[in-house]
Amino acid sequence: MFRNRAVVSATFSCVLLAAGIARADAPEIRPVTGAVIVTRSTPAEAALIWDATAYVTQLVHEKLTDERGMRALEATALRALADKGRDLTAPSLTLKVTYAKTGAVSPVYGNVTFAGFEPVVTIAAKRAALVQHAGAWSTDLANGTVPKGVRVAVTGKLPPVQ
Amino acid sequence: MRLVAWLAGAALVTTSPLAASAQSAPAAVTTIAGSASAGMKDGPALDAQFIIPSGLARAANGTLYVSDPAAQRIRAMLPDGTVRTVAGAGALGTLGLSVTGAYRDGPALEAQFNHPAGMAVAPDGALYIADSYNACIRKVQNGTVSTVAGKCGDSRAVDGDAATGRLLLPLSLSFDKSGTLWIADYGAGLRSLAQGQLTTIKLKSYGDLQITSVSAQPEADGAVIAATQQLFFLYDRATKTDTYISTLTDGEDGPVGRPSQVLAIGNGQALFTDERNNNVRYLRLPRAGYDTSLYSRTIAGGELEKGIFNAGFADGPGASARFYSPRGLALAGDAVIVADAGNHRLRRIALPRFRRSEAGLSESDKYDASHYEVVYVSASNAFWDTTGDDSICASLERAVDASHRSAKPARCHTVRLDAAQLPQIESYIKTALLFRHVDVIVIGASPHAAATYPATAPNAAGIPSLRAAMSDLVRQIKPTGAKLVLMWLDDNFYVSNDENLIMHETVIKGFVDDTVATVAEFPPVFAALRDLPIAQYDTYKDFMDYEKRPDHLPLFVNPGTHLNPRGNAFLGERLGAFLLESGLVK
Repeated sequence: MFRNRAVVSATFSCVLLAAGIARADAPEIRPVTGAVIVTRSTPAEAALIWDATAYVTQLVHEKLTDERGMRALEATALRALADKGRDLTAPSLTLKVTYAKTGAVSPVYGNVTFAGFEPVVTIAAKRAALVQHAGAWSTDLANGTVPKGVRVAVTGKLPPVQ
Repeated sequence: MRLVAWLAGAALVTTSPLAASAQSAPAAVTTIAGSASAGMKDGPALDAQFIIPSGLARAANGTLYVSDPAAQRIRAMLPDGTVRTVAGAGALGTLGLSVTGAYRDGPALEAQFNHPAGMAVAPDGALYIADSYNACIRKVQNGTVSTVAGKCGDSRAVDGDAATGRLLLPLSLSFDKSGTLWIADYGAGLRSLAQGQLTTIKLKSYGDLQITSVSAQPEADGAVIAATQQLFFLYDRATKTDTYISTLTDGEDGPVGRPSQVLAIGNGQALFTDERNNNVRYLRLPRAGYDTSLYSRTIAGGELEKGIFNAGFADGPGASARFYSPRGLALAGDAVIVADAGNHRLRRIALPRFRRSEAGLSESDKYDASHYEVVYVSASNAFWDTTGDDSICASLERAVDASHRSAKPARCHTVRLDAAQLPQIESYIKTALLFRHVDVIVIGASPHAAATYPATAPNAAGIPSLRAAMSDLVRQIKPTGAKLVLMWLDDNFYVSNDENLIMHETVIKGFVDDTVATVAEFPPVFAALRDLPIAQYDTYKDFMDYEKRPDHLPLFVNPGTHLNPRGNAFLGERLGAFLLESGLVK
């Protein structure tokens, strides 16, 4: 289920990152918008969900729903997980990133309707390492490289540009 | 699990819908400072005098600052219940109605203002003041008044640093989480002062230069609600977008309000004073995809229809209280303080509980094991025409708690997914609720729609599809321990039509036939799910039983297919009773 994206270019990217050079097309790592909640917390693991609807809406607004958009989302999600992880004690953290899809305009309400949640990506990491390396790891993700301590599972896709 | 026999009589004796409605706490209004005569006297709050109390700002220590543009002073109501002057000077004119405005920085009680208006307390505790006629921002800190932005007396709209920038007519101020000061600069537009730079925000249109009020949303950095005299809009710095919310026109010939001060209270909600209609109103913003309608309701003062004739002075329950040209607002715990300018007083409104639909994911930790956590998911009817205390969820909580039959209190969360079909509701449950502590998930659904589930399928295929989907949902929910309830709400169209028929005492026969025809398609739906661990509550019989009572009152808005507040109370009470009777809450 989890995969290491950009396997082919991983070595090259690592070299670039080691030298502190970001890819030219690295997307901006934006502030987290929308609620990140802890849905389950046990001594062994904590599961979180990020309602990234507002974030994804902004990506659509900027016509950034291609791979760069996904990289921005992943990088931001990693930061969100690290931020929340600082207040948690469970050694393993998982963040499910989701957004609300909108459907047709309701003739009753004159506004777009809820068309279900799209679980778009899930990120998992060990808390201690994540908190320590959050900055570098999120930059790695923005550059298209999945850090060794992070698992990324793409479970959905971003909406099409309107 | 379907509840066949309903102890309607017993339930109505103890917790009738009307009694339940009456239990919701009204917004009570009291006077906390000022007196009938205008003046500038300091002292005990109810002996103190104001001329035109306008702007309000509340400090973390509970001190409430009040600007009085006619007195050219800043007053403070202290936590000990006294009012004193903290800044401003000058004697009353010969008529005793006002002090001439001027400009002077320095020791606070020697400083001078020219119509101080909106105020805001900075994170460091300093009080910022929109010195409107001086066209600058002033600050009171450590007993000294200084100028922090603009050049007093030079009224222009110029961006730049705090010293070189100019303001036109600043009326309202608000700090956001990051410390940015937002300014409603009337005639110039929405402006911000951050890191020493005064900047005008480029907005779309909507008469955006005529902004009279601004309030930062407490939970969102850089997002504000702003008002002109006739409309509201949102600005979000993160997305650099401004969104028109609403005009205050209620139809072409309806009353037009005039917002004086808007106060964001979090979670997409705001309060505002309406100087024209002399009331204080509540505004709930829509959320695209979930709760798609704007909602506004008067919480204190007269109703809109009476407009300026609401002006007056009276304490008491919200609907009977009266204000005269209310202006500034400040939150104080579970109350809001109103600068009642025309009455020379400060008023306090005990706020009802403003819950709202929790569609999306709640940031709070409201879900906890010390309560029965009930989540009620449905379309618009779940949270229509309600501020919270009169919602289905609030009524359910009261019904469960008042019964004294449950081991712990009930806490109900409304999830409103407008126009949602069961697939969307399933999606929500699987994503947002599956891993949370929830005891009972109630899905409000229409058996008519369910019979054709999914919506595009013919009836013959619909019911098996519904059964398959519900089986899957049950399987997924099982590990969490949550129980699932399908609350069948007949298409409200039928119910409200039937209600109207009964109300008008006409064609009763038609009502009966209609009922038979309507209900005929439901039993196959119920039967198809009967062997699943899903409690089914068919509300139709309860609605009909109630509406056949000679003393029944409308439960639906008319015209319309949504429940009115009485209907919300009725349904919440019935749902609470169902949970108890069926042992889902015990």
